Amino acid sequence: MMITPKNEFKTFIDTLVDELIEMSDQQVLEGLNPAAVQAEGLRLLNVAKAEAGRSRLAAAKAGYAASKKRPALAAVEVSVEEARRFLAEARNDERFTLAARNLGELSDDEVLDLYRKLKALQSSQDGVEK
Amino acid sequence: MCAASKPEERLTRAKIESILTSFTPADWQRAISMAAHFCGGVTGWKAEDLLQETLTKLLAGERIWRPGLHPLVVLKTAMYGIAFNARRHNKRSPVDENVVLDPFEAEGEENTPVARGKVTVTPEDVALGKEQMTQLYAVIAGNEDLELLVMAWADGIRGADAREMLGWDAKKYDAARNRLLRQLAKLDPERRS
Repeated sequence: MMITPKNEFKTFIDTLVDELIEMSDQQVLEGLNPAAVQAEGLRLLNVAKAEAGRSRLAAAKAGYAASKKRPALAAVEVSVEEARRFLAEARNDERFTLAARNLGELSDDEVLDLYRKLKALQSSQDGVEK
Repeated sequence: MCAASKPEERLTRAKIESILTSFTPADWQRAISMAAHFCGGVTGWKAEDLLQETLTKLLAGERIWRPGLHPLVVLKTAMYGIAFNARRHNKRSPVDENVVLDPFEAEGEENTPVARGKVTVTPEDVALGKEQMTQLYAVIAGNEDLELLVMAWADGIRGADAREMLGWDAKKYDAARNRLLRQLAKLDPERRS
């Protein structure tokens, strides 16, 4: 049987917080200026709000920059005939030989799906070669 | 049959802001007291720094505030993670940041930094929590009542149970608890006298 070592610190903190919650406001603030304590708390909150805003803006910017780098997959609306023609040509391209085989057995949906995948692959390879 | 997993529940930023804005002075003091204890051993951080970092991470959504929890419990959980990450970072750094260098205390013509405080010589395998408790025991050393109270709390015994176990009345318990909270503040390097 394994014995998990007891985390004395964590238990202490849990108990401390329970005690703090249970203590009266008067006991908690003994010897302190309540107005000054609250002003300091609100100051910290305002700084935190500004920091959190900056952090969220940075994350949004990073997300936007990443989305701009992604190949444009939206512009792949083609007819099934065009997609089949593209795949037929791609069959002779060594990069796509395996993916484009058995073309005649594919349904229209499968053809369009495969077309989109090959286009995306082509875009990413073009990006790498640049 | 497996129950479908619920989407992660968390309070919105607006709700978090609303809760924190309505904190009373006593709530802020409770949060500061807690932060002061977590700050022991996290070099360069004072209680206000830790509390501000915790609030920032909660507001930015980097730490989750689950609905239905007491705000102090949420702050405690978030602070626990942030303080321990900071302490681990200190341990991994080639520079022991626990040594306080103060060039202004140098004597003589050379401005050689003087180390105040002790270099932390802790075996790597010593649990960080144990280290934290060691610091606490050092702060209250010699005060038998406080030592007993800390031992009881570290064992998860509090309130009426602790009073009964220690054979104290409510007045003595409250007085010891208030003294202990003042001592805990001394773990915050900025408040050490």
